[in-house]
Amino acid sequence: MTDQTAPEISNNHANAGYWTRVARDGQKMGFWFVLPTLLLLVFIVVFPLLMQLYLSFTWWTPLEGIPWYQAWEVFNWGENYWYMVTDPRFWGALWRTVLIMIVAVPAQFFLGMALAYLFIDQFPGRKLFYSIMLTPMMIVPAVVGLMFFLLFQGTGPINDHLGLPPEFSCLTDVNRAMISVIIADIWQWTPLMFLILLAGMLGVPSDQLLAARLLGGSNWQNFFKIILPRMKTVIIIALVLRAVECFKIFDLVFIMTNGGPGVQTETISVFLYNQTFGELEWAYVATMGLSILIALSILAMKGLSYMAKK
Amino acid sequence: MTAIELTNAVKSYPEFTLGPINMSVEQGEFFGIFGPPSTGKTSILKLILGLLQPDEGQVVLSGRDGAGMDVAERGISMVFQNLALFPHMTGRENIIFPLRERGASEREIAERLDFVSEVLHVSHILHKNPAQMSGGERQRIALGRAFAADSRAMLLDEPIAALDARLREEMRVELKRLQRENNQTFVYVSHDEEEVMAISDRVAVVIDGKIAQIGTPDEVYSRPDSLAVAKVIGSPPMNLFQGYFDEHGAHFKADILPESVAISGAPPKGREGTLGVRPEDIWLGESDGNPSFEVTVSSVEPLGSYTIINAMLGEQILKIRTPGQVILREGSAQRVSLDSRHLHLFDQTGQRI
Repeated sequence: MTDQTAPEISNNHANAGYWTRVARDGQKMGFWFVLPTLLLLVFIVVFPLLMQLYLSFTWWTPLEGIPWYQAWEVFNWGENYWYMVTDPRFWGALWRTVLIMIVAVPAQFFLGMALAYLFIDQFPGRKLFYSIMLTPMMIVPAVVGLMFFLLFQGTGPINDHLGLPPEFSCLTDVNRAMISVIIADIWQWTPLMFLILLAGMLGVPSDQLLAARLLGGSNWQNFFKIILPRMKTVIIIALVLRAVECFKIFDLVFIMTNGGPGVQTETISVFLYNQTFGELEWAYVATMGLSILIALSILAMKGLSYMAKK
Repeated sequence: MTAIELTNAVKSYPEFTLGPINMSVEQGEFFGIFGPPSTGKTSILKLILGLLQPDEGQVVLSGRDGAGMDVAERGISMVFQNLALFPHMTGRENIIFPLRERGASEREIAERLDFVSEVLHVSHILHKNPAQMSGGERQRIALGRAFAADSRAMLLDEPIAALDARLREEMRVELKRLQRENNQTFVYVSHDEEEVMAISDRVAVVIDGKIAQIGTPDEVYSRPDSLAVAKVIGSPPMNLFQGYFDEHGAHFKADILPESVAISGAPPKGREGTLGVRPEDIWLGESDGNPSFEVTVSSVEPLGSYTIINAMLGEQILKIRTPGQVILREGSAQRVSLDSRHLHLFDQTGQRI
C-alpha cells in the first residue's frame, strides 16, 4: 500500500474493504476504539438501570420462585411507588440522612474554615500539625466507625473519662446515637474541608491582604471582605462535595449502630441495605434507588445551572 | 515637621544586615529611596509600615515611637508594585474601602470619593472591575485607594514600574502634582534612577542595606559622597579612572590618561584613588585649561536631543554625552577634553575628597 501513489489510493477508496476504510477514516476508527468501553458502560450502567426500572413495577423478590426476567407475571402497576411515598420508614431514613447532612456539613465547614485560617500563618510545628490534622481523612471510614464504636461504648473510654456509668451508652440511646454518628462524621471529614479551604485561602494574594490591613481593615473585616469573596468557588465546591458524600453515608452508621437503636440512626443507605439483604425486598429497593437517583439528578442539574449563572 | 524618622534602625537577616538607617522625611516632602535591586529598599518600607520591627534603633512617626503601634494604627498607606487591587470589587468599592473600614459616614464617603476621583480623573472608570481596566487606569485606582485613606504618609513601592515608558512619564507628573496639590508626604521607592531623580525633593541612595547618601537629586548627582553612589547614579554611568594622588596633593595622575589633572582640596598624598567624570563633562575637541587626550570612537548612539559616543581609551570604554547630533566615523581618532570644574575624586576607600 505504502508504495502506491496518491491518485491510486483515492481510486481504490470506494471498493476497498470495510476495515481499510476504517483505517483511513479517523471518525470510524474512533468508534471502534470506543466501542468496548461503550459496551462495558451499557452493561454496568444502562442494563442495571433498565432492570431496576422493570423490577420496580413488579412484586418480584428473589424468593418469588421465578427468574427476574419473568417478573412481569407479578406486575403491579407502580404500587411500589405509592408504597414508598406512604412508607414512614423511608421518609424517616431520608429525613435522618438530611439531618446528618445539614448538621455535619456546616460543622465541618466552620471547623475547616477556622483551622484553615489558623494555618495560613506560619507557626512552629505547623507542618507536624498539618500532617496530624489530615490523618482522620486517610482512615478507611469503616475503621473510623469501629473506632467510634469502641469509644462510645458504655464501658468505653469516653464514659470512663467523663465518669459516666456504663448504662449511659451513647450508641444505644435513642437521642444520643445520632449525635455520636454525627460526631464521628465531623471528626473524619473536617480535614478534607480544611484541606480544600486552606488551598483556597492560600490562593488569596498576600499583597491584597496586606493592602487591606494597611487601609485599616481589621482581621475580621479582611476575612469577610477579601478572603471570603475570593474563596467563593472553592467554598461551593467543598460544600457540594461534602453534601453529596454525606448523603451516601453508610460505613460509619452501619458499623457504629447498624441504624439502631430501632431505626433511630437509619439513613437512606442503611435502609436500602437492610431492605436488600434483610427483607430481600428487591423490587421495593429498586423503586427507592431509582427515585432517589432521579431526585438527586434533578437537584444537581438545578444546582449546577444556578452556579453556572453566578 | 518630621513625618517619618528612622534613627539607627537595624534589621539583621542571616545573610544580610539592613542599616543602621538614619533618615527623616519631612511633612509634605516627596522623598525618594533609590538603590539597585535587592539592596533593602523594601525592607526600609516595611520598617516604616511596621511589618518589620527594627532589631535596634527606632522608627518615629510624627513624633510617636512606632514600636508600640500596630500596622493599621500608623496611618500610612501604600501603593504596591503590583497594586494589590481587590479584583472582586469595582473601582469605586476599591477606593472607598479604607473609608468603609474606618466607619466613615455615607456623606463623608461620597465627598471623599468625589474629591479623589476628581483629583485622579477616574470618575468614568469607577464602575469597572480592575480586570476591565487598562494598566494606567488600574494605577490611578490604586493611587486613589491609598489617597482616599487620607493617611499621614503614602509609601509607593515602584508603583509605576509595570507601565510602559510613555505612561510612566505621564504618571510621574501626575504623582508629583497629586503630592504637591495636597501637601502629602510621599515616600517613593524605585530602582529606576531617572524616575526617582525626576520627582523627588530629596533622594536616599541605598546600597547594600545602608544609606550611602541623602540629598536633593542635584546634590546626589553632582556631588556624590562616595564612589558607590557615583557608580549607581547617572545614566550612562560616570567614567572612572584609577590612579594616584601625587606627593604634593596638587595633582591626580590617572593610569590611563597621558597627563595628570590639577586638583584642589586635601587629598591623601601619594595614595591611590579614583577620578570620576560624568559623560557630559567630557567634551569633544580641545578646550583651554582643561586636560585633553585622544580616544578612538567605537560607536555612536544618536538619541535625538543628545548623542552618546562610546570611545576607547586603551582598554577602557569612555562614555561621552554630547548635546545635539554629531557625526563621527567609527574607528576615527578624536581629541576630547575633561571639564576640570566637574571632576569627582575619591580616595582609596571610595570617599569623596
